[in-house]
Amino acid sequence: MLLRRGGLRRERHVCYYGLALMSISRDEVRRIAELARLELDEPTLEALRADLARILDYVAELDTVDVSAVEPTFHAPPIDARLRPILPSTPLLREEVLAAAPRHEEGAFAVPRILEGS
Amino acid sequence: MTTARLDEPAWRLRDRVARGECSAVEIAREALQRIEARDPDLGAFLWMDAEGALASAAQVDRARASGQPLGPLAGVPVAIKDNLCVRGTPTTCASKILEGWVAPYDAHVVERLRAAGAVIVGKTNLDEFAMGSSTERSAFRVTRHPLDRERSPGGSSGGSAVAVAAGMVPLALGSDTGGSVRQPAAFTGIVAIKPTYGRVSRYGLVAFASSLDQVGPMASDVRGAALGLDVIAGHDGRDATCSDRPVPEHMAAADQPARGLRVGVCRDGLEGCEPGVVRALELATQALRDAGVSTHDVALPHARLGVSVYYLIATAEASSNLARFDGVRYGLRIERGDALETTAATRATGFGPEVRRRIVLGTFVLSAGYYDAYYLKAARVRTLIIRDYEAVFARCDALLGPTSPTAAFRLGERLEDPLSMYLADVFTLPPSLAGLPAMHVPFGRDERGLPVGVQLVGRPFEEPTLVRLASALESRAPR
Repeated sequence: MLLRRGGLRRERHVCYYGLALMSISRDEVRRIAELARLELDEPTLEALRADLARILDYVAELDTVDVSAVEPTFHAPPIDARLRPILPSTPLLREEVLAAAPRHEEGAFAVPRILEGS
Repeated sequence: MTTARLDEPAWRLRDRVARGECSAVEIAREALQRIEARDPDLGAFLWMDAEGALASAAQVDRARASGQPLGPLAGVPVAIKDNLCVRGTPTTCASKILEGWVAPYDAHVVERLRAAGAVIVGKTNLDEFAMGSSTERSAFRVTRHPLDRERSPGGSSGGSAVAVAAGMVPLALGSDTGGSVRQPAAFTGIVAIKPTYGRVSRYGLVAFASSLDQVGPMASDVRGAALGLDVIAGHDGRDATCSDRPVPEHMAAADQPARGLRVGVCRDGLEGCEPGVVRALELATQALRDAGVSTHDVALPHARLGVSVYYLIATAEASSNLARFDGVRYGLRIERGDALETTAATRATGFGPEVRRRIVLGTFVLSAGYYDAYYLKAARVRTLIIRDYEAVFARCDALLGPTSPTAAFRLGERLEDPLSMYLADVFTLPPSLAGLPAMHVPFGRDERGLPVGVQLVGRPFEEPTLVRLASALESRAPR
């Protein structure tokens, strides 16, 4: 019920953001690429921006339908998910999993420094 | 011995093995020879497992010799799309980011195939991470159309389609998120089934868009595809979305007459189709009437929005699923100063342009300020598409329409224009968004000699109805 109320509140934003008004700047693409952990050079960012602008322009066709009173679908129906019993099973062998990793040390994945001074 | 056994469908090969008319090892050798002879200029395979194939085949022959019961795919050579894990073999998703990664376990569908006596011959090419409709987006090689090397076999399961269409195997597995078994089947003139969402476990399938992904069989005939579905369908607790409904006999449904079924014919979007595609639909409609099926004109008013809905939802899900490729656990790592920089450099180097484009688009539509306008709106329109189908299925048992607006297009024709590539999926996307079973059935050729055919769409879990109709079409298809 709480979720439902949240969904209704969001409705106002949907009206506020008309898709047709959207365009996308190079800075915006740079920010998104950072969020997606992709290190991209300027020509690549510009090419992406142009592609995204065209795609976003195309999907603006969704503005032609009024969905303000329609519930969203996040999973294709029918989904008959069931809880499963938790039973002992044979896990993957640690050595096999680690063998497929780029680097491992002492039975663990090895990564570059994460924290300052560590 | 003159051998053309591989030109026979999967079910007949299995019967020959069971009756002792030929050994599984002979068939496996023939498949491996054909791959060696035909694949160099087709590019269907990324990895061949001759040793493993011969060992599995020998096991089938030993089981037969000792009088043990044989599985439903005993001795049948099968190719596996390279986004499905096969223990001990490379699983790359045709991406540099997974190059060299060897799967430490079998996907559920691969376990099922092995248990059924199938002989796995290798891994097939795809658009990187199954993102594409031409198999040109593989990081490793281009797959070519068997009838015209300058044309695409479609995608993303283009390698599996060509392995079947070129007679290298009678059965292959692909994955279908928005049409990736159906469209390449249409381009190459084979049969493919995208099962109902939840019919087949995705355990061991590298995830692309989790609310859409399904594994599906691709085969040289309707019964072969139905047999493939019989083997891979059914409950598996390792995929929480996998249904525990009983699995009906799909291959047996091919022998049931289609007479009396009601089929809706959807002509929306035909104005954007090639004449050969339109003609195939008209001929198939008439063929179903000849088989005693009643046909009814129906409309799916929101299906035209499927491309927009799909490319917002699927990219959003992909951006989340592909976050796991961080340079830590699998394959590639481009070492930089710290962990974050290493991850960003690894991903930028390891992912190809289409995957990067979809990750960025998906991250954008999920980001603060845009989620409601794009992702949530797409999810609401998805509901309208589902309602359209519900209305139609209240009075029809299945739907008939095109699978692809065109026959096989030329390599390179759509590569530089992502949107034109996305529009290739216009007819396959709506059933995927609704989670419905859908099937491609070949139906003749166009004026250039390229395969064309039709798509059947069914109610949830009613794949047997599709098989009945497909069987009626197959027996009436133009030669």
